[in-house]
Amino acid sequence: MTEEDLINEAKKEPRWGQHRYLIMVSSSVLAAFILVIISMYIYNNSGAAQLDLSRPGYDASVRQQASQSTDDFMSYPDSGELDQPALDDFKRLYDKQSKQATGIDAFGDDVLSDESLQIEAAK
Amino acid sequence: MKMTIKDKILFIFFGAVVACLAVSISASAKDSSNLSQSQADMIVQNCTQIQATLSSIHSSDALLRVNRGQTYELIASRLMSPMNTRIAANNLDGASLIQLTSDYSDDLSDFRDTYISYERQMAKTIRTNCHKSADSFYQNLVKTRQLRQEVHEYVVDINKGIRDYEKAFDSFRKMLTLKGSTE
Repeated sequence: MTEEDLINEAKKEPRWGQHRYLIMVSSSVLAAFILVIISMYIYNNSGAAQLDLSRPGYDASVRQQASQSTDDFMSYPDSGELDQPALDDFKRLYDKQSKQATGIDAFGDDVLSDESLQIEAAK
Repeated sequence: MKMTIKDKILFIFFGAVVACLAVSISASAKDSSNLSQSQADMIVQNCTQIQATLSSIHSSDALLRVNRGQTYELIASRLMSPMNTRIAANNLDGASLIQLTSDYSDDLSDFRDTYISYERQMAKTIRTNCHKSADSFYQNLVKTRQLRQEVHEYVVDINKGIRDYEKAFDSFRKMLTLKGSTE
């Protein structure tokens, strides 16, 4: 097969067939780009972004302070007889978690006051 | 259809009332984000420090959201729901506890949604250039405060929900103990 035959054979290929590798790579990149946009949209709108402590902009130290495990939070069994010991058991578990949960006055607005941020109007 | 003079007067009167209301609402909104010249100067002067403080609050809030949120979710999923299921399985009346759990879940859902808005607004405030546009920065800060206040109100509601469930459980327990002693 001569060089001329090879050129003639290549010319017989449809136009897209001549650039199929380029088309394949471009469509892969485009598909990846679209998937990244979709996943970023879901990440930002599902509330996952707000729970992601590894995001840029957060102090690195906060990651270590996050509760790593929920194993110490005892689960109350959802089956069995409801006798006095079972009720006492629930009361004990609930009291412990209730105190922990309600013990902190979270998200008080005083930290964002003019006074706290030192932008109080001069008197 | 032709309007009579009486209709026209009524129309003008209601138009004026609506306009007055719109002006007063707009004025009260402006009042809360009114920035004096001395405050604007302080914002520009302390801009870097304010931004650092806000970033620190942003980080600590994220941590608080993760830890508090986890505790709130677990109280519902590991304590309230199993107890309600167990009450139902024992053919006892736990309607009030189920209602309180449902209210608690609603508050928790509102807390999650409001926190997302608050976090976005906080990030927007941090991104605002307070050196160049103190006024715009302050307006964003006021919005952030309002959303933080909303988040705080939901936290108060959630805490109330936890305590209410506890009280309802105590009543349920008392009722069950009395029932047991009479049988």
